Amino acid sequence: MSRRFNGKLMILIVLGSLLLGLFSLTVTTKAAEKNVLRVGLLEEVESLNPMIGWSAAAYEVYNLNYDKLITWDENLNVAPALAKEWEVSDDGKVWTFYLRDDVKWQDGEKFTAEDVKFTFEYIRDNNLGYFKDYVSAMEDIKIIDDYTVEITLSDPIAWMPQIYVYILPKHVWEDIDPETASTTFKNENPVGTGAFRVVEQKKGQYVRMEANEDYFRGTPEVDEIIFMQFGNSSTMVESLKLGEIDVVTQVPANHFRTLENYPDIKSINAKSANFTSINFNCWQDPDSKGNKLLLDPVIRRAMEYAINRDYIVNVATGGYATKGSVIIPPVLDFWHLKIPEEDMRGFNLDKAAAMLKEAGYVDRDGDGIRESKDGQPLDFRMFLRSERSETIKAARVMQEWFKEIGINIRTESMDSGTLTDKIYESDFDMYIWGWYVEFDPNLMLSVLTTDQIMSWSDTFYTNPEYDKLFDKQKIMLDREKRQEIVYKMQSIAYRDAPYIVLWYGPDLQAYRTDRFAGWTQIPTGGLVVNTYTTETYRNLHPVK
Amino acid sequence: MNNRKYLLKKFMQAMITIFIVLIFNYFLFRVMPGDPIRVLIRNPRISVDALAEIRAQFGLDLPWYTQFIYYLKDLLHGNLGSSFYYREPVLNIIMERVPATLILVGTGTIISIFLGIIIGVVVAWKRGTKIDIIGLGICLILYSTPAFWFGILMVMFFAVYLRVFPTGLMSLPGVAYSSLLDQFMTSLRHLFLPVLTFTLIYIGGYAIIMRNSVIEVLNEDYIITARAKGISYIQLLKRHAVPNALLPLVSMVAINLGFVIAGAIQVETVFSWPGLGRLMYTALLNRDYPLLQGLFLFLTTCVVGANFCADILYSYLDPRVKLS
Repeated sequence: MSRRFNGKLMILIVLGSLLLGLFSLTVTTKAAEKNVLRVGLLEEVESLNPMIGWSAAAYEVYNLNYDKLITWDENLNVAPALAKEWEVSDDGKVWTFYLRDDVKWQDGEKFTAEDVKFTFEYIRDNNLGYFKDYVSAMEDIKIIDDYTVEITLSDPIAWMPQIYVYILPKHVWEDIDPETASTTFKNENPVGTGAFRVVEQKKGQYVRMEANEDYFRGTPEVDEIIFMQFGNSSTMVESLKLGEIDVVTQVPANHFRTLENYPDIKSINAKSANFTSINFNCWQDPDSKGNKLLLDPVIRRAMEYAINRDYIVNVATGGYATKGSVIIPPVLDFWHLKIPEEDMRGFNLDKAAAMLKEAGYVDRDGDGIRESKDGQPLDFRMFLRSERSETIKAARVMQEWFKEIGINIRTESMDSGTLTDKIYESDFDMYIWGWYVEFDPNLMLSVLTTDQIMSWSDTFYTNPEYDKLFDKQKIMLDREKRQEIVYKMQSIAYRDAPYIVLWYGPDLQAYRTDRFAGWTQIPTGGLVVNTYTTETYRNLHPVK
Repeated sequence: MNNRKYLLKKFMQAMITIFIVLIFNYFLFRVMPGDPIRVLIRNPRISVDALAEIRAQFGLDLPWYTQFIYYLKDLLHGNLGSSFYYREPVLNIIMERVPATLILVGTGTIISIFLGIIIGVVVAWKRGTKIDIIGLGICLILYSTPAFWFGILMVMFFAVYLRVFPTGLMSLPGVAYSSLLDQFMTSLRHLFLPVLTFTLIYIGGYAIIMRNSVIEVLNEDYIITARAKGISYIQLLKRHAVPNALLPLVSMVAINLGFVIAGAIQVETVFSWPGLGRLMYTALLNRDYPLLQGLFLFLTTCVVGANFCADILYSYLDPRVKLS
């Protein structure tokens, strides 16, 4: 090896690379002739197999690639998809679905009732994915003719016919070993009936989908959709401003303001199905590792009186969220219980202090913290998710108010995984998290039932009256009557306060208006993408 | 000791290092809080039977020492296990991401070393002058700049303000290129900002090392002798000062590799670059232990391997370090 230091060569290389860099300045990329819609997101489409994936990004791809029997319209009413009509027997147990006869799988095979029967049985019998809850009550699935299916349920179900299951092609999936279907099967070339089809995936980069020309609800005008995964939201937002992408699925609140009056960009603060709440440990079991004082609803209610919701919504979410109240968010207009302002536990520190005093919690040793009759201090742990800066901000503000009414809160941040473990070990006093509520209120309401303890329940709340109402609404097919029960349940949950719902949303999205028109918000005032429907993608057309 | 023996000894040392790290990694992930099964199944409604089945499938029902032996056995067969998140073999996922990081880190490192050497030599030569003060100042600023923040500044200036480079990503999917050259140029455009950020972040460190090292060499007796012989400045630098000053840089580059990967995590996250750094970040967020473990092992091997190469290279560069 030469020991001589070749400076000239090095300089040449450096200059060469600089020149190359400068030269690349002059190159411009030509846009394709095709109408390509580019969607910017932060989440990864972790799997193309709907029995494995769970992120919002993955669901968006599944929704485009597959169809369900039904979908939703802009009022969140059930609308036809693969099923054009349906009827139910008087006892609510037998559902007959009349399927469309003009649907083809993306590989050219005909779609028939066989596929529907196969899908539901395949998931039910093999306990697959997150879909099995929708099919587990199906006792019998009968094929009446090629385009008619009769489903017999063990009990009537109020959320029927909203079966959130992607119908799979029998001729593809019957060859897949159920053992691998929810573990290692990649489903790299998914075959569905949907408006678009995945043609390419580069992990950590993008998923490319092409329009299905034979789509039964009409050929989409967008030829291609590309879901592009970004590493951070700042560059994603800049990318939207530059026109490199057409829509951003999630805009952080601190970037939203810069988009509000930006030319050719429409920003929307959508009605949201999310809520953020303080969740208390309500477990009455002696094994509970939570502070037993919190089993007294008086303390929980007093804490709610000590929260100025207007203030924290401004501080924590930049004012974009909506003040919280009950567990069914206002976007589910039909089901949401509107509590009048005067019946809400609004900000009132004196009232909170008086309540605690009346219940026997007074400061006995003069340290500023109240104690119970047997001397237990009102001193609690509050767990926070380290990745959610807005809840950490809110907690810091609330801590001061709680201190004023004589409750000491020690906050602790941890990642969601660690917190989940703590929750399942019931090793918490309270924490801030929240829920995304489905279009049907059933699942959200179920979370507070006794049956869900050690399952979906995240507060260990139990109330026999609530449980009874839940079972009643679950089988109530009359929408008006069911609404009444659902209202009652929300008011019980509000009274007992296992959750203090701090705010709803915010769900912020932004899209460009100079390339495509036809952006559709589902429901009205809601989001344009990540809506669990495909309206936007099917309605978009290029701006001339 | 002969050549081969020396190499063998170094090689064995490298292997032992890797093995110790491997054991450390393995147990590190076992003592982390939380049941991995909860990460594996995001559906809490799963039945007890199904839970046990998945536990068995990933071997999580076995005692820890059996699991460890299986892990070692699989490792010898080149099997790093299966990712919880992607449900794919870890090795495949890592290999898929290696080229992106290699392009970014490789190009960036080479350019920053070259430029670092030149800057280091120039400021050392002009030490005490304005050039030295300004040059050293810039180097120190670059050296201490957080990569993440610097990357965002680059995006703001080049992509948003000047609009000459894309904000990130490795390519713009769905674009039809008129020619192969066009496609190549587009790739270069995407590569430019991440590499520039990467280069500037590391240039300072290399330049400072080079400067100190050159100054040290310039004070040696043989330099004075050389100057007394009437050798020109350029020749003096080229033949005597720089080759000797390069030695510390070689070890620095090898040792630095670990930190370079850390820098890659930040640069790749800013520019949405689909490499190992971002993979590690996602794996961490998802608590994908097998993938993280695989990544750690992979990177350990790279760093140890680089140091092994540096050892060998050293013996060529420095006649005092003899293989025999």
